[in-house]
Amino acid sequence: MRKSLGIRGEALPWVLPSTLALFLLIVIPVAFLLYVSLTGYELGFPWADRTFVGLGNYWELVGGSDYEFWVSVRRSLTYALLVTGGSLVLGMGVALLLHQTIRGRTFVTLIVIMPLAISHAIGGLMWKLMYNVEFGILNYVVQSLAGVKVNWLSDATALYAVAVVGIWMAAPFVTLFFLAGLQSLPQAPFEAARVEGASAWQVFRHLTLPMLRPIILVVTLFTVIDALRSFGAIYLLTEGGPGVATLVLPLYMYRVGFGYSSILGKGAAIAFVLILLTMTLAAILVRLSRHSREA
Amino acid sequence: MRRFLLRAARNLGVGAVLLFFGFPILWMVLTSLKERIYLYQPGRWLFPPTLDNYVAALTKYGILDYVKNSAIVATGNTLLSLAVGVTAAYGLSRFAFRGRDAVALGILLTRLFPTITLVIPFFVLAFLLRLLDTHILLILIYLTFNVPFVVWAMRAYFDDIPREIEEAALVDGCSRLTAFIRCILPAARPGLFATGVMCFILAWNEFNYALFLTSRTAKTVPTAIAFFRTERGILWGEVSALGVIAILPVLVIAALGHNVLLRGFSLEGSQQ
Repeated sequence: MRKSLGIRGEALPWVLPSTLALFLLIVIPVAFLLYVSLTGYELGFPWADRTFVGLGNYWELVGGSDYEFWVSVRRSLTYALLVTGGSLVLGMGVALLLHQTIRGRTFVTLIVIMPLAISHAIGGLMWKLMYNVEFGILNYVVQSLAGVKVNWLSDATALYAVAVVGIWMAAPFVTLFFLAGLQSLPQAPFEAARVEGASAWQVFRHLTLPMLRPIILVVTLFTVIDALRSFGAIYLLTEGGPGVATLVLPLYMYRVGFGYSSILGKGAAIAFVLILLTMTLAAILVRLSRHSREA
Repeated sequence: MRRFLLRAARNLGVGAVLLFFGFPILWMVLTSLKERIYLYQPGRWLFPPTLDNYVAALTKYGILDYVKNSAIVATGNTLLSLAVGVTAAYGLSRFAFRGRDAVALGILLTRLFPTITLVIPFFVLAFLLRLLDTHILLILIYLTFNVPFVVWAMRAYFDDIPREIEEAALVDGCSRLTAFIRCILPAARPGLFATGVMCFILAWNEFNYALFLTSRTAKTVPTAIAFFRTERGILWGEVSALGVIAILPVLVIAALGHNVLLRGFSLEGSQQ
């Protein structure tokens, strides 16, 4: 006992700086965010002029008078669902492809992970160039095939167009995760299946997928959380528009807190709702993964 | 025949993957090299390339200042993240103490936090402390994501360095700190370098905090995109040039030593 305390004492100076830095830079700001969300502070006014409104901002959000809030919750959930579903399927496909011996595998892997190494804002810019109605490459292809031009970032399609960019940014991470998972699987069951003449689909469905299940749940958790906090690319592509078409919660927070109304207090309340939503979904997914591990 | 079809399907798949993930980058590079008249001919692959957009971005729009800001912030933050994170990584690797796993997990979980929500408290706090639009503000705030990365990456690295190395030094009468500086750090140099490169990229790319917390003097490259929205629309050629400048460090690193990127982002993925 004394010994373990002694070691702890020795470890303290090594571990303290990071722990302290992260505490000061995350825990304190979250507490302060909660406080700001209880005020009616507006951008540009002296801090001393803030009024304490209690849960007023939250009531305003959930009470039904704020039509945009519930829209943005729905947009966030739809966006997260599209990005998670899309990047899991695509990531699995790419991982299976890269798991085989293909020519230039290192190069292909490098290209696949490039979106991870690029600022989300710049990624958004790249797709904005391609989505452009007049001179984007997508409409050039569509027009030469079908003779029409599509307004990709219009009201009806903007959320899907933005989700494609989200998949572009999330799928590389999913791919790396699944690839590591595939490489760590034991070989024996696969060889047995081959001897018994199982088809590729059967092997995937009854061997690969069940064995990867724990990894799939973890990847889902991270992708959902990451999709919920997406801001940069959507800001670049649509700024939440047109209208409220792509107004996910971070963009709504931006509009309310820094955009046309600049009510930072209410923006803080939206931010806190986003934290709660993220934590709720994370808790659900963690519980699911526990269940599957016990089953 | 079956084998041939399988091979064809696989090659098609690889082609589609390369197209989806790589083409957006290529398209931006192409756009940045186009004169205005060629911008409106998306189907034209052969055109006389021009550097006019880069010249305009660098001279008319003062991108050089933003490059300088990004370099200062990314370098400063990388050094600080390494200094703070490496010691913790060593502590977590070498000492068994109660709550070690909790500390390690806690540091890791910070990466899952929806950091976009922190722009509001950071904005108000920086406003009150008169730190808005300064380099030091971004250098400090970027610790939130780079310290956990350093701790995780370097802890794995230290675990692989045999304890005998510093134990020999300790027996010789060195202090723990001296042993760490003289024996461990030199042995970990490749890992330190790779981790530092990753920190630099992550800080260089950061957009959300920089967008909200800087305006003129500390504005970084990714946030400068907004400047190219004029009343007549977006200056596509110039903004593409800026985009290429923004991804240039990554392209250079990818060309020089792609292993750093491959391992780094696998690590970043696995720690998440």
